Amino acid sequence: MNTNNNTKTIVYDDDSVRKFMIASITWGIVAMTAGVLIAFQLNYWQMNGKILEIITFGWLKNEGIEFLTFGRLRPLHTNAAIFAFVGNMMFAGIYYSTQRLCRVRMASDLLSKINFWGWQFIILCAAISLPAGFTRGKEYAELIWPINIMVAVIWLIFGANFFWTLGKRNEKSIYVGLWFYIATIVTVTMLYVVNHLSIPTSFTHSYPIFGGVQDALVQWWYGHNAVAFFLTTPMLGIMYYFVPKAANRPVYSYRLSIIHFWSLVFIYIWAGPHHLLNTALPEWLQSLGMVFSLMLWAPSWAGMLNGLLTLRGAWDRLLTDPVLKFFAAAVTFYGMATFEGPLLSIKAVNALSHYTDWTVGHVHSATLGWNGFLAAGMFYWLAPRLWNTKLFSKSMANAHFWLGMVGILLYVASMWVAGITQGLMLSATTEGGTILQYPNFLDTLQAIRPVMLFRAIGGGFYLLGFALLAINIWKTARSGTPVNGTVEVAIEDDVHSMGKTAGEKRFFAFLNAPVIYALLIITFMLVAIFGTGVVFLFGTLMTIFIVIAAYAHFEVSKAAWSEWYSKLLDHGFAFTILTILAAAIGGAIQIIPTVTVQRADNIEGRIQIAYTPLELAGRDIYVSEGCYNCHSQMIRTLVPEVMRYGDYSHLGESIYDFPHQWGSKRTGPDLAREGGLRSDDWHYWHMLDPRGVSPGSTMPNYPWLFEKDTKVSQLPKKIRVMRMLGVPYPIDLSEEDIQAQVDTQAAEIVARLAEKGAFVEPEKEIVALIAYLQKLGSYRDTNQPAEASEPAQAAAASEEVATAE
Amino acid sequence: MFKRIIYDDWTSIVPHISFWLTFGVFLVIVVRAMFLRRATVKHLESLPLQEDESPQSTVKSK
Repeated sequence: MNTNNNTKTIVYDDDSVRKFMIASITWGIVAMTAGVLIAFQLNYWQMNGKILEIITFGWLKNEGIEFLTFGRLRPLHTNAAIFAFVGNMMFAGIYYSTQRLCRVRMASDLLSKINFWGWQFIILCAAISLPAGFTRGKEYAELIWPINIMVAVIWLIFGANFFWTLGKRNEKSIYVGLWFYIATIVTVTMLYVVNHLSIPTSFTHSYPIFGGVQDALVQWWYGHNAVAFFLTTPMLGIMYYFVPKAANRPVYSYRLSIIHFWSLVFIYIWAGPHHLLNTALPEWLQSLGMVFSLMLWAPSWAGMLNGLLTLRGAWDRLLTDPVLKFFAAAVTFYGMATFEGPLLSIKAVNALSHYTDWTVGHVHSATLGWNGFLAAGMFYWLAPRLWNTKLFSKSMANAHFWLGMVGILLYVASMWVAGITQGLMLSATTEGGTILQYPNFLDTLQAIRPVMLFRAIGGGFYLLGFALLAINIWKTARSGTPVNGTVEVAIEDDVHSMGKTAGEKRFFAFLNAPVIYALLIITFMLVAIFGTGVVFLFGTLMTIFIVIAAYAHFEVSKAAWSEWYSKLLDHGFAFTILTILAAAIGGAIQIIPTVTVQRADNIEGRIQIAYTPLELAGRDIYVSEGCYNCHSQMIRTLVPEVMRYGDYSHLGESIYDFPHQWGSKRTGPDLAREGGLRSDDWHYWHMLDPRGVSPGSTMPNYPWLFEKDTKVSQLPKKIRVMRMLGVPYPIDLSEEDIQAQVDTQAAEIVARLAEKGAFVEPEKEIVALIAYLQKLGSYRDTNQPAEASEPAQAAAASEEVATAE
Repeated sequence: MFKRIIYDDWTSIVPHISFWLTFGVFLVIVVRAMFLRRATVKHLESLPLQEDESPQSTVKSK
């Protein structure tokens, strides 16, 4: 290796770190305030806008404000917490630690600035578009397609800046913290792009290319791994850098951190289907999701123990150092959350917990405890160093810690109680298991309202603590001067080349025996899997032959093979490719067969009847209002669910739903078979004043649905896109036909409403929404001819049933 | 064969496949981690501690 002894001073870009940190704190307060507001909305329906009339003594007269409903603000809360609060915190931590671990300034100040300002612009767009009702209707993936493109571009700019910095580094080895950042960048790119593949119908609307079960699987592959690779892996990288720094001692076991990294990256990606247990998802996927979730326990706890034991010998400082206190608690919450996650992934436990507040409590123990406390510890550690001063107040930081801790415990404990209570009540039976003990869903909601109030109060405590952090950091910054870190580095000619050019080295990192054998084995295994007859036999024999040859080769040249892996650890590019492979394999094995085979043409048994144009417009209103945040459309294969809602949901019954609306939480009842269950006028009055027909309901009023017109002009384009996605709309359906169908169906609904004394104009949104709700649960049997199709549930509908309600 | 993956009852063997796949990956990583040279480990674990952000090692931000 050619070196010379020149040294130069590197000045780190800490301006970006400061900006990201301030942005994280600011957006954190927005996200948490929205969280506390929606927590209160679940107790008091007036919080959906009516409260403004009360506190202004009637000046802001309203029966509900569309921009403030739970359905629209919950996505704002989750997106702000994940992408704005944790996202900015993650960038701050990565920018700070990457420069120091690589002993080099970020490669491009311009890219850093674009990363910062672009990300804030995206958040601003989200903060406007989500309350306005522009959504894709998929959890944590609600942002509309133009914003999706911005996210992808800014993320790639961040990735380019990171890898460019990695390429310029003055430290040969790549520390494990950087491994976690690499995994974050490549995996989030993969997850985000696949789950956001959509076909636009307008500037603010699109349909995802996956529907029904495909969409459910892809969504939760993304949703689960957004937690894994946005809220966990970057945090672990930050933990592996900042905890040793704060404790002033190396990580407990570097070897354990290697095991932690690879096993976590490999296992995590498989676990997504645990969000869909007992649903219409094929059994083999459910089993995979459950088993991999349980095995995830091991790497998660390896990381948790490694983090906690790094504090060995520094436990006494926990009493006096708020940074260590926050870090110790954060890592403990990581351990708790990663214990609870696998537990909830056991199918039997999930039968109780899913769709209840238990899951909500689990998520918050991780985000508030693990992410929030890690962020706080990092900010308290960074602020004095970034402004070259002392922390303004340790006692204020300690007060923040205890307020936050009490807040989390109140929140999580009340959610456990709420989830278990509601889960048990919903499945409780009497008369020898033949009758539901609590047939009225609202009884179960009323039972948990006191503990739900505790959740809101707990959230309030946490927000108050975080406000103290904001004041403390602000005062700290005001008392000091912003500074940038510097370091003297010895400049080597090329620390990475080892006699070869960078390109050659990348090439030779791949062109070696272990990689070639692995590729051959995968290729022949694929030949065997996809082939039949002679091709299958050839693939199988060749796989066996290559495995034997690889083993023999390894026996003869052990040293060379070991060297290959050691070299890999110093090569960012080769390492990244290996990480992509480890993270991609699970998703590929789950998604490719599902997308290829679980299509409408292959469905046997029940298949959904496509929506009429008016019903499709109503569905888009349902999605836009965020109804999926409280209502599922999936009756699980569980006896109490079948007793409560009707026959379990079959895979084909939502195959034309773009996006799927299976949901993840039931604050209200499941709607999979809502069609025909109640009369049109029941829905009319229910949307106008839910408590008028369902006493005790906490659902918001939706008066604007009676004032706004359905956007019928957009339907031809939407139906064209639907046809592209495989929904069987007639190819010759003209705009006039669509308008005529809308007019006819709307007139029928309006007439039925008028008979019951409910009057509305046919073009209003409520009419389209009623049309959609009355279609839910309609299917035909694939063994019957299509023309015999009749909405099964709708056919069963009768005014008598509605009257009996 | 591909369709059989989808339609056959794989419930009984999927957990086994999952376990052995993960166990294989885990074993390889453990072996690699254990065989890492002590000097390399010392160097790697000391990387975050090489910097000391003191007032002397900073410059005012412009």
